[in-house]
Amino acid sequence: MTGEPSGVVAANEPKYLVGFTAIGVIVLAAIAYAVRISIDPLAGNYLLTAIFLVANAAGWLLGSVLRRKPHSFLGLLLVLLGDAIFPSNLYAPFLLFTPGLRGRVALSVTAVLLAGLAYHLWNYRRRSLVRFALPFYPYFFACGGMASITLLQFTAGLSMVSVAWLVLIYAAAFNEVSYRLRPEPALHFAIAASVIMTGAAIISAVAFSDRAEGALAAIIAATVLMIVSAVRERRDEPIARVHGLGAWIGLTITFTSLLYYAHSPLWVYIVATGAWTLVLGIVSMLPANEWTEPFLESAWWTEILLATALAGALWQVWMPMVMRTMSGKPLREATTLALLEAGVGLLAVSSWRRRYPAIASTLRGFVANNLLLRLTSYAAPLILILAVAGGWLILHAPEPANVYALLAAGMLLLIVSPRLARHYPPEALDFAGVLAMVFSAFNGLASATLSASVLFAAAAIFLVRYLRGAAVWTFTAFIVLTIGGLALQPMWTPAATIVFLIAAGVIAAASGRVTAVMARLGYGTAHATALLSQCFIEEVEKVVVQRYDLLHELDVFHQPDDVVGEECRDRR
Amino acid sequence: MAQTETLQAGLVLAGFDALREIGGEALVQIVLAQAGEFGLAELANQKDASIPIEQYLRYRDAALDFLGDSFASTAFETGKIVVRMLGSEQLKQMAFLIEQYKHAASQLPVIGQAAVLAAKDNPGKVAAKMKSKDVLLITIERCPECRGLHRQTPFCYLNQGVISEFASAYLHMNVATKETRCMAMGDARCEIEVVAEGGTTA
Repeated sequence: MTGEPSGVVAANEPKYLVGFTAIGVIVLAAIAYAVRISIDPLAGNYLLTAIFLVANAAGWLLGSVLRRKPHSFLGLLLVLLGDAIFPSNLYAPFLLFTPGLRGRVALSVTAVLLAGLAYHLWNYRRRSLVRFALPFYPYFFACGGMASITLLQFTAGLSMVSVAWLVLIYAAAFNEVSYRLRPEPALHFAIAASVIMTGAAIISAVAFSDRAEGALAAIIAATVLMIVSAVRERRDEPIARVHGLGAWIGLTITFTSLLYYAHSPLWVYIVATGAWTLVLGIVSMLPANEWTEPFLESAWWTEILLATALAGALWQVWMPMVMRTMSGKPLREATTLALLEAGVGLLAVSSWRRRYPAIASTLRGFVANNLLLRLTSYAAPLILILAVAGGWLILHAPEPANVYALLAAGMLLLIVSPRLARHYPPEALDFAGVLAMVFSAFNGLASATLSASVLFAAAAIFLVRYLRGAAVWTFTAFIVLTIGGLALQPMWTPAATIVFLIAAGVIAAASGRVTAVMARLGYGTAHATALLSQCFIEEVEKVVVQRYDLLHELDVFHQPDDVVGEECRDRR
Repeated sequence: MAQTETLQAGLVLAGFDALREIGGEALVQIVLAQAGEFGLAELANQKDASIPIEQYLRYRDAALDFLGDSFASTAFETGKIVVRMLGSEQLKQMAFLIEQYKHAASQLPVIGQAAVLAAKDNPGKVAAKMKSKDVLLITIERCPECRGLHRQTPFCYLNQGVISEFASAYLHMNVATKETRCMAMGDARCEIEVVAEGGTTA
């Protein structure tokens, strides 16, 4: 913290950009060199290694001298450069020239990590004097230690199961230190502890690939450890929730491992993951008390993680359900069911949280809660649309499914969204509804009439909503969808005629309102509005009115122009 | 190195206004004289400036000595005035906050969230949660209002005034507040329970 006013920092932005970009380039070069010599130690050479070492030493020395002057930006940059490339500069000589380490990647990496751990442990003891940000230490101790132990598989020839147990022991010890001594920063140490306990469960899961029971025991032990930690920390809510998240991830890994142990087919994993997501959603809505507190918010976080992972992992299965250009994949039924479960879970949580919102303990928490809730609210209807498309196929409803199913889902969402505002964010339902309509129209492109009908249906919904008093954008949506539909539609079809009649009726009934809408849509000046109206009306008369004598006689299209004209005159 | 804890000068200015409502400018001057040199002239134009908490505590102790038991109602009124003095930016933030919670089954969570966010950068640590469906619990660790006091009864009426006025002015609801634990009574932290009462203030 330099204590500079924000204006000073803003004025120096180009300097920061150039400086940090330069550091980034040099760090990337150092990493690239380290990777290159790891793959082929013969690629290493004295000159390049020496250049990096000199750059490192120069950065530190010059930076230290320059930093004697307060707020020296160059000094800060040089010191940062030295810090950033030091690990790879330590690694290269170890791997290339050090007896005992030469040519041995895992051993050299371990040596670098141990050197780093020793150095930063010493630094941490005098942390008020050193330049590293305090939150750096817990994560470095946690991840550095875990990486060193994991490398024992290569450096000491230990089995993966042994490595998993060693990581778990390290995680347990780290967690005890974090709980009993509360080293500062306490929250970051707790998060770091949770990270390595979760890491222990993941490493155990990797070790379980050959179904070794010792690895399964390690997974269960890691999970129990995280549950106990969450309960033990229940009075410190942020820390308890972090451990709660770890506990739910541990339970997820445990259940998945049990399915693996039982040689379950792939569809079982998919359906079970969806069901588990739903269970997490339900758990997150249970009443809170002192004992359940660590597990409620964290269940919701885990639910979001799993639902996102599920949808991401299965994209090749569900994409053909909504895109006619892709060919179908197996596991359609399982995917549909899993998406339905996940979507219902997210939908329920979003609705429940709208009625019973959480109270965040910090501003950052408040922002994060809002973002997560928005993510949940938007994800749920999108996932459910995918499930509807899949369900349509499974139930052998009229083809093409990726037109009719999406049309049905989109229309339903657009119709119900204003009525559900109290229970669900309408913008999320509208977003999903419009997206479904767009996909439906896209998929119907093989038949212009079908595609246009989809757009007209969506336009009609927005028109009704606008007339019932919805926001201006619904009228815009109506116009855009109608134009889109007309673009696909021969002019003389009954559907086009109906659309024209509706549009004419609307404009006649609400001409003043339409003018206001147009003005608010961005044509704010009277001039622009009048110009637009004139051009629009001329075009419409050319294309439409000449074909439809009835409309021409009613002369309804002139009415908005009159209003605009009056407004223009008034403004002059 | 421990940082100096500060409070917004507006809090003391609100206290002066509350004193004026009881005994006019004379009462303010008496309390100020008891508190020693206080820099009133500078404070009067610096509602958003920060003052060290010790300066606030000196004012509080002087007012408490002079007013005795009636300090409670003055503190409550001070809290209400603090809410009325919110600036336009803070009002915008409040409007945003209320909008976020407008579909909630109860408006009590808005009060809790507002209490937490408003306490940012102030001494003490405020947390809030729904104790049950109808009861909001606000907890204050290292409470600046009762700091250094030893009393037989709860003391934090200023906080309760803030809560009541916020509910009344922005949520158009009447709430009842009750301090169930207070650091002045030897508790580890102050706890205020808030329940909605029937009727609205609209």
